[in-house]
Amino acid sequence: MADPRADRDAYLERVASDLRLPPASSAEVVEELRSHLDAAVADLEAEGLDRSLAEREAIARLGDPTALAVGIRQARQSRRRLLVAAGYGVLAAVRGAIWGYLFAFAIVMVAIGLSAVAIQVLVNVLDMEAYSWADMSGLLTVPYAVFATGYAGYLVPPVVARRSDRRVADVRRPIAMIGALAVGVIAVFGIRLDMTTTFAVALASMPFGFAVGALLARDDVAERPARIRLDWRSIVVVGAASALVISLIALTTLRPSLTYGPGTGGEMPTTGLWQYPQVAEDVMWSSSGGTTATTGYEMTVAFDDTRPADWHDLRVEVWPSDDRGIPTPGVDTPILVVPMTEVADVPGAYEALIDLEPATTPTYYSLASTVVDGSGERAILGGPDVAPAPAWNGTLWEFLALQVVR
Amino acid sequence: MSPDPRLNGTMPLLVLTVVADEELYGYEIAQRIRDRSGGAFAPSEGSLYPALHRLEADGALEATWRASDVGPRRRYYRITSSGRGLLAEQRDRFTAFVAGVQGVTTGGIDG
Repeated sequence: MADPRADRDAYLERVASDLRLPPASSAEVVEELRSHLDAAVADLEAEGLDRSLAEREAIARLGDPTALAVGIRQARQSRRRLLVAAGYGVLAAVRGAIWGYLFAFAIVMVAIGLSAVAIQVLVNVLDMEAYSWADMSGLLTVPYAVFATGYAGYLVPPVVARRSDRRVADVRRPIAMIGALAVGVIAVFGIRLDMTTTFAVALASMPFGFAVGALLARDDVAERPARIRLDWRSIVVVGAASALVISLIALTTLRPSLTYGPGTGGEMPTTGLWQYPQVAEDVMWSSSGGTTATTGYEMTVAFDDTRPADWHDLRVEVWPSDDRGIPTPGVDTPILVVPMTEVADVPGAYEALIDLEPATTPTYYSLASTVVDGSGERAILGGPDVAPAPAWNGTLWEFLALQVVR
Repeated sequence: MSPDPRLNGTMPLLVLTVVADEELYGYEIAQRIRDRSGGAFAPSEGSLYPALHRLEADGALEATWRASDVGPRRRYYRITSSGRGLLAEQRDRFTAFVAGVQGVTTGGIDG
């Protein structure tokens, strides 16, 4: 004889499969319907129906299982609940961005420490010199951006799912798309900074970081970390891997540690700035960085009474160079020449304001004060000064437009 | 008695009314509505549970699981203060609706 409860079990299984709620919610609904059927069958049997008829009648009164499941799901997943869940999702994203940034910071500190040791050993062994850390540090903004947005994306789907009574699998993709779009709009249009190519890559990676984090979200991620708990092993492992990458990049930038310059001896080129002799007279010169308003650099020269009377054509010449101030070999003319003018009420003092173009990649110049002597030869006063090009400031959108125009 | 589809729109009002007096579980709510109607109508049990869950999601009802003397545990529903406000609102609306229908039907009959 067939089990009269088999129809009930089949009915409830059908409801469960059509509910598409989180497992815990689905189990609760099925349990409630099962207890309803228990009570209904008991009443129908008390009215005189036999067991199997009572089971069928009780099920029939509940109606179509799919319609019942859809009705309950729509009732539980209300729009109001989704809006509230979205608000909690935004808070979770902010929390995740902060934690992700701190995690990246810990990794970067390990990476810098390990790679600095490795690079120092290499330069000593090879008698070379590494590229300026100040410019390589721009690379580190990429892991910061990726970890911060990635962890933000990772935290949002479980929070939204829990608050709106939805399955994580059902909300991952919409959250990944909406979040990536929102983060992308902020990254492209909303953040204005001294942009370099590396920073542009970091900003552009943010929406992808969020999307990947959201797509990897799991059901069991806690909404709020109970306490600060750093996973030392993962920080050290990822930090060591990052150190390896940074060291390999640094290797490609190694260069001879020889220092050229007028008066240092050794073999020097004879073109460009190298063709000028240096005049080591009693002169004072100073240069200072300009403000972002002027994007310029100011150079001053002050002569004392020993200045030869036949010196003339005092000017500042700007030559492309590296970060050490060594002019680029093979460049025979300055990219910019600015005549120096006498400073009012300060006898013997001359000044020039040099307006350098902002650059999006590390760019350096040698600023040399030069003068023509009585024999018609041009000479450098003092030693050239190294000046980095002013940073180009703008949004990622403006930066991309600049690349297209160029 | 077959379920009366005209009850679907008034289901929240009926549920809140019977639960306002005491905590009840789902099957009991259906029984109470049928009994209090004097057998005139019976709510569709298939639309009862969506209504219960919607009222709970909206904060008009609170649900708790309780052990039962005669079988597995049951989910009991209790009206909240927000639910009482909603009940009063729904009652007023329904009363106005009935008065309007009565006005139309009695006013249209000659004499």
